Amino acid sequence: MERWFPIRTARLLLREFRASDEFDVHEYASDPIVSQFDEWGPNTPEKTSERLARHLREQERWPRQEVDLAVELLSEQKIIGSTSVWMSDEKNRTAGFGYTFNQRYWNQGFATEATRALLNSCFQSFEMHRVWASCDVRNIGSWRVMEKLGMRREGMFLRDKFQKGVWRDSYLYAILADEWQSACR
Amino acid sequence: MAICVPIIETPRLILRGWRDEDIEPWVAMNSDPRVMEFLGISYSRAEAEAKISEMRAAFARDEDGWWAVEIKEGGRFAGRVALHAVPFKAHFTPATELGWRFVFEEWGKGYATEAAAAVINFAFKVRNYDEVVAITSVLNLRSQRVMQRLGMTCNPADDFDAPNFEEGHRLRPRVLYRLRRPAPEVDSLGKNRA
Repeated sequence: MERWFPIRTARLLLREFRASDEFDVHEYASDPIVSQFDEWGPNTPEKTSERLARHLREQERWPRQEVDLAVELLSEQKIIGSTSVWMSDEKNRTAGFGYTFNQRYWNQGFATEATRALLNSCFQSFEMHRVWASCDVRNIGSWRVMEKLGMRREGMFLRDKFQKGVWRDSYLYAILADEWQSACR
Repeated sequence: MAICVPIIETPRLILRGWRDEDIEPWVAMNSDPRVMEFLGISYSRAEAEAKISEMRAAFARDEDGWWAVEIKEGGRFAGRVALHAVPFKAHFTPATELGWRFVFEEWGKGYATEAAAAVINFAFKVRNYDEVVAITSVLNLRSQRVMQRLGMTCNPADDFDAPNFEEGHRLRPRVLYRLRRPAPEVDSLGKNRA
């Protein structure tokens, strides 16, 4: 399959990482608020370097099971977040995705704009049947993004993730290809 | 009695002491079921009026207390914000609590976030507190969203049961959000987090 990125939206560019993104990536990856509901973070500068180096190495391979993309805000030419999509069940044409955004750029629709483009690729370019994502039940901003995308809350998992020292509950959201079609109409 | 209420101005709001003309909108707000949904209390007119006298006295006595929030444009009463000691014993007390309650018609405009952010600034810069907390029902997602916007964090390990609701009451489970005073220094990458 051809590479289906970079993707351009009205305000954003979803593209592969560059070594020069390190400063921007560390700005959000080191923020404890940004990763408070995630397994990772907050990153030390070393951890950010290491993660970025891994992205750069993985970008040399194609095809691959997981694609991580930096989200660049076109007007500032700045990396304000990242998205990730992976084939979680090839036989059932199912993919999972995730996203992280710099706190300073929250509440402006950037996550929705970026992930909408990502879902579009999932269904149109690689013809997925089902796409899912999950987040901590307390991460209201995150699950609101999924609801804006038209995803359905399929369930709540009780204390399924041990993060930052405690067992946490999470929501699973998903959307099927035909639901995406009608949501886009 | 001289009551010194620190007046705080934000781009769109004025946080100030209570005036007699606040009584009517305050009584109306406290009898609005949409505003009171997660508070589990309701005030009669007499109680609401008594509460105003109590709030008026608080700043003089405790240093902290309850501000009336006025919208600069048009001078409407929008609600109240508070900074006070948590009035019960729990695993995280003593602690200073931040709170807000706004007229339903003014929701969705960012006023709670704007007013609370100004109170946080007051708590850290004027009062020199090391930490403020905010408490709400587990069910009150709108309020938790404001807390998250303010940069507050929660940890399920801090969850607790409100002592003023009986076992099994839907409003008994509470979440605690915390915010530490930001360190004034700039970090290694030059990002000023203050």
